[in-house]
Amino acid sequence: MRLGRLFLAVLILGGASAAAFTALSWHRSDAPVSPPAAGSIPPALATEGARLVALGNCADCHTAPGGRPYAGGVAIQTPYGHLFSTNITPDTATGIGAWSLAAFTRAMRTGISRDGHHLYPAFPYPHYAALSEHEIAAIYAYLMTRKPISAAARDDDLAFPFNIRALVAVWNLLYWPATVPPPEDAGGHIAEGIAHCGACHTPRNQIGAERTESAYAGADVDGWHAPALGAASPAPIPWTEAELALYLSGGVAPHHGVAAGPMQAVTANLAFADPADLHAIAAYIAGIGGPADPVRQARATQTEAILSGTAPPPPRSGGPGAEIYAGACAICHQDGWHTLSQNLTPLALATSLSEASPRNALRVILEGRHPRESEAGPQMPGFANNLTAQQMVDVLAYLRTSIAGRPAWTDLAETVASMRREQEPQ
Amino acid sequence: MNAPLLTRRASLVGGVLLVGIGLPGRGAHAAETTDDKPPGSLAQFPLLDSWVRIDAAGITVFTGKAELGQGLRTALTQIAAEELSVPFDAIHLVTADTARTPNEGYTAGSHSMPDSGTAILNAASQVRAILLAIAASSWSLPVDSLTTRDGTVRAPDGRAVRYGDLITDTTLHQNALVRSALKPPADYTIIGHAQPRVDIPAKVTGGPAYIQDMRPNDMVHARILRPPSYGATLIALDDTEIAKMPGVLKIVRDGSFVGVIAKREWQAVQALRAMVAAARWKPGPKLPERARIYDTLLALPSEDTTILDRLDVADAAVSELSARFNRPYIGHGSIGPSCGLALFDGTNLTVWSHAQGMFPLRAAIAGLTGLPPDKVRCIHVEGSGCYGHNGADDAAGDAALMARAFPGQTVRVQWMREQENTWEPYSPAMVTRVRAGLNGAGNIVDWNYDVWSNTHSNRPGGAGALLAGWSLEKPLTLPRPVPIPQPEGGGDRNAIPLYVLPHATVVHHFIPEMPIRVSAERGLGAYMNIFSIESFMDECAAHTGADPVEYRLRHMQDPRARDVITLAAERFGWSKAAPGSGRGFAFARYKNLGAYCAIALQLAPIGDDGQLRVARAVLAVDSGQIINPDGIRNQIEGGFLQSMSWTLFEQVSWNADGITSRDWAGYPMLRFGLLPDQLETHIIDRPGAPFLGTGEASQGPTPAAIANALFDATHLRLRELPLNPPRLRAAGLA
Amino acid sequence: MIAIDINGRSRSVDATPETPLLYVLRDNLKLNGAKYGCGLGQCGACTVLLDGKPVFSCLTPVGSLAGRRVRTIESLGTEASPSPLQRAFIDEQAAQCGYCSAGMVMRAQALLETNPGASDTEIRARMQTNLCRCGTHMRILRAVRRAAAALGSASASPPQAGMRDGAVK
Repeated sequence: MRLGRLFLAVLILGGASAAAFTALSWHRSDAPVSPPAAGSIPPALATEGARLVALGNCADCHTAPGGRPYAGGVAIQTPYGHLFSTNITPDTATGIGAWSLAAFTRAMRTGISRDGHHLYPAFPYPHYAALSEHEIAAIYAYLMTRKPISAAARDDDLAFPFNIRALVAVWNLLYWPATVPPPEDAGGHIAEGIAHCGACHTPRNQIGAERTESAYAGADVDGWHAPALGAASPAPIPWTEAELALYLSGGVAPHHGVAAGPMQAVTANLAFADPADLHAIAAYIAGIGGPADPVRQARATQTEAILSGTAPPPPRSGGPGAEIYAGACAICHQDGWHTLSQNLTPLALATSLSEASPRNALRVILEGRHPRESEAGPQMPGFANNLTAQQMVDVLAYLRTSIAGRPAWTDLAETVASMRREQEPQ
Repeated sequence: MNAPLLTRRASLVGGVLLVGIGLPGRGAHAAETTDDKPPGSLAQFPLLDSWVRIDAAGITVFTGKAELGQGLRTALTQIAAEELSVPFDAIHLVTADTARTPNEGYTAGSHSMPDSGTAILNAASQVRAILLAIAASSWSLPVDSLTTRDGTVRAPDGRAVRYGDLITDTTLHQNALVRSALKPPADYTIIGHAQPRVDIPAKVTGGPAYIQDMRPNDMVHARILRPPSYGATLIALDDTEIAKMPGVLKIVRDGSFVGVIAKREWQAVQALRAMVAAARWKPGPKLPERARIYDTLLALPSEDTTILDRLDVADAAVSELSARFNRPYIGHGSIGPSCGLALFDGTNLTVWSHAQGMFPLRAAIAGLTGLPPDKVRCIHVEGSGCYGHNGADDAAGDAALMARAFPGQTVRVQWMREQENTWEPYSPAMVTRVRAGLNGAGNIVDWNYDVWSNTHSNRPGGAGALLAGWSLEKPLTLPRPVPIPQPEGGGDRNAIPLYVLPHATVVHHFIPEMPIRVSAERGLGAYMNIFSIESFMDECAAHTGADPVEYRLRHMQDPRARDVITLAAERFGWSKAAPGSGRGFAFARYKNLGAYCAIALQLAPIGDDGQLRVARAVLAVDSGQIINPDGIRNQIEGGFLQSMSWTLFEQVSWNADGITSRDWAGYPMLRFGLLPDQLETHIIDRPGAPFLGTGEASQGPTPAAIANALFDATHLRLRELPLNPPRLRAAGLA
Repeated sequence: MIAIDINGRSRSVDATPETPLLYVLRDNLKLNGAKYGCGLGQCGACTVLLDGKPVFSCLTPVGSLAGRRVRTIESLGTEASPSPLQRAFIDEQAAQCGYCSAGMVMRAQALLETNPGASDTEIRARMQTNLCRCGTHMRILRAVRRAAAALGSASASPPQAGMRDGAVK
């Protein structure tokens, strides 16, 4: 419980005497109201809300796998235990049907639930603090026009002392609100606000707050690594605004690869956002940290030369990794192979093979990538059952050095062993 | 609404409804015949020994139709065994083979039971009559006193003689009589009874079941290099290194047609991949913009035929409704890509194929190879389900060309997945427009309907219909398509509503020019026309405030149609289901000549993901005399789920440079996750009535029932397929 | 030559190491069960068991199989003596063209071996990987449920005779 002690220490540093603390953490309950009457919500406002909800990726955290949209129940892993997302459909008993706009606004901005209790900052309210009243009203309008679904929230499963909600009040003193550029800076306002990109891509400190001094330096999320964005991105070829906008709206970037892991759902939702908003986000994110440094630029030039055939490719090793690549990977991923529905990104450009950790590449190989049942899109089977741990190591080593032309991963065997333990797939 | 009870006495036994109606019992299968010809395909092939042969080895029955996974072998064997009075297992059935069976054209259009089933029923009956007559004469007993059982004729005194001992080789070489003395349906012990399919045990135990499983000892493996798009031509292919690849036996080239033969299958695949990488092509013409495809089709010249112009006494219309419907190109989507085997011995060419018509295929291959037709034999071997004209004919043509260039060994051509998805002739995109006038009571008094479509059949088209022919040094071209005439129709199949409509005009706009390769797929135009008509019937009902089922019955006189409509509604509990809950109804009689099918279904609540899902569907069907009830159920359920998949997910996609839905990642279709919770099929048996065929009956009503349920749930009418999440989102439904 | 363990027998096959297992099964070993459907791991027609787990044989290089055990549908039963799951497919007449059947059977077999009492939801989720084009899904589910029920009560009752056998012969 090293972290727990640290958390307590933070509280003490916060100078919380019992009385002061109570005052700080107590919030009045907002009286329940009847849900808005049918027809009382302007459709245009709800439509505007739909775009904001798409940008906010709300559906992802608030829809359980196979469950009804926005009915909550998603288990969110934190270092301190499990949280379960709540029902944000307009059901009066179990959702937000009895929430007034004022109560909703308070929750969105300050993380105080209608009945006065603190929400955990897994709900990214510090980012939402900067939303305008109008934006929040639009989101409210959209959610209140969804179908009410009865689904009671599940109890969280957090270790002491994190299970004391009132302590969040102290956390808020330190980390609320996030710094969000004004609406005039459209990209920044969206990316730092409703889209809360940093919630995944910025590393967090020991009590779960984003380390703003390391903004967008990349962070681990749900067993994946959300890569660094902007100048620090590990992508072999630096992102451009145009390609990032394309990626955000469809999950596919010809020079970088395909959204996988948690980002797959984000891009699926962003497909319904306003393209202008996505371009704004793309401009902001692609510009983080300024242009790529000369070393990266040189590498990008070299990679492009190899792909266009004007420079020799990295030497390809033989051995078991090469055989697995040839009989499993190359059937779809062979360079220049354009007979599939998607023209696959050359693996030499895949961000996951150029990251510091093999985690994302391994995870894709284990699980594959699966579009929704009704949806066309890049599809890859998982190889968890096909390959032994050693074969995973072999093929990843081959992909890393012979295909991506990068120095070998040093922690490969360890990562494979630990991840196979984590997720014993079917 | 109070659902009206069935119009006549009915009982439901084991899910099969038996209805006695005023159809003649005995001999009713002959009802479709003209006076001077025997029924079904017997009319074209009257010789009895074309259909039934009996010798020391046993009883062999011949059909020019083929098993496509629809259960044809089992149903035809049931028919033959029943009328011959022999056990089911006593029949050896030979399917389509140009050297052995009658030429029954294509196995398509739900024709197998009406054509071949009827022929075999009558031929078998007449053979049995001949056997009885011979035995009666040899025993000097009256025919009436004899019986047949288990392949023997028996006398009252206990004497028995085996069929094979009664006849010589030539006995059955005689023309069938126009009429047969068929068994009374009440005596049936095999027809109408559930019969396990003969082909299923091998299919679930790894037995040889498909053309893909054929492995003659001398077999070699071939792959064909296909152009990247329609009309592309080969500029260069340096194959020197490829010819040296391990196992490569020969590279065959004729113009832009290139194939490789190798010893091992994987070697052939690798050689193909090397050829794909090495080939340089001159692109073909650009494809039309996908987003504007319907307008593009409408702008093409069309040949217009008024297929219905009915002018009866009618009230004046007091209100008018109109609508336009669009549907995309849809693929056959066979799970196994097409395959063909061929052996050329220097003189004769034998081709094994899973195509639907061996005789027309023979003519096409003769044209392609320049061999006389009598030197070409085509034998059907089952493949993966085809649901119409997929790549099977083309793969057979490929195999024929490769075999001719590599005589003495059997060449097996297997298409790759991306080749099947890219090159198969799709079911064409279509547009329909409908306008109706309603009288004061809300009834339809005036109906105007237009359907625009490419052809739904590019067969038979001779060698020019085969893909390989297009790439030859001297390229062959597809003959100009011609419409399939009414009453069956092609694009206009089921364009004439079965409802009573006093004023009605229906025009078929046949568009000969096809920007995308198309041909026959299960149901042809019926899928779109029934979608349009049955959606619009609901629109009219809603406009009038009438219940959709009652509204249909109000416009329907055909008693058998009324029966399936009523049965589906009753079993669904239509009168108890709340309007607005997402329930939908649709009906059609396939081709207006075949099986009757009505569907009532319930959608699951529509979530914000915009994904429609059917919670429960109830189907009622009348296919005439039932042969194998479980076979009907399997076809009707399968047709529903396949059509649901078309409706909810499917569309061929392309860009200017070619087809882009090249595999399942680009062409999503139904998987287990979005199945209905419940699917029920209720069959009405019509003992003694003609076989109507079943395979395509549920294809058309399905999309309409779904669209109608969507309207019921949301009051939004979607008239363009597929009804997928982007479409629902665009309509503001999610 | 590569040695592999197929259906409990060690077989020596003449193939290069990268050759997908599917081609070795069908071409070298003349086994029909695993089918070529897409070669891309999208349809499941080629499903076999590798160390008891379902894999796409079309994307499994044969050189990667040293020390591992492959099972195909041929190991389950025969037409004359089908396995309980094959029996259930026959009893439910759970095929139309049947091209997907062997893959379906093998995927379900893997499920029932680890989870004989699989629920309907679990069965649907597991079978999601495999495509059927004929629309036989409901029957396939029924067959798997029937086998699950038979396996669940295997100790309590003798193997079930085919539902429709009485009507056959």
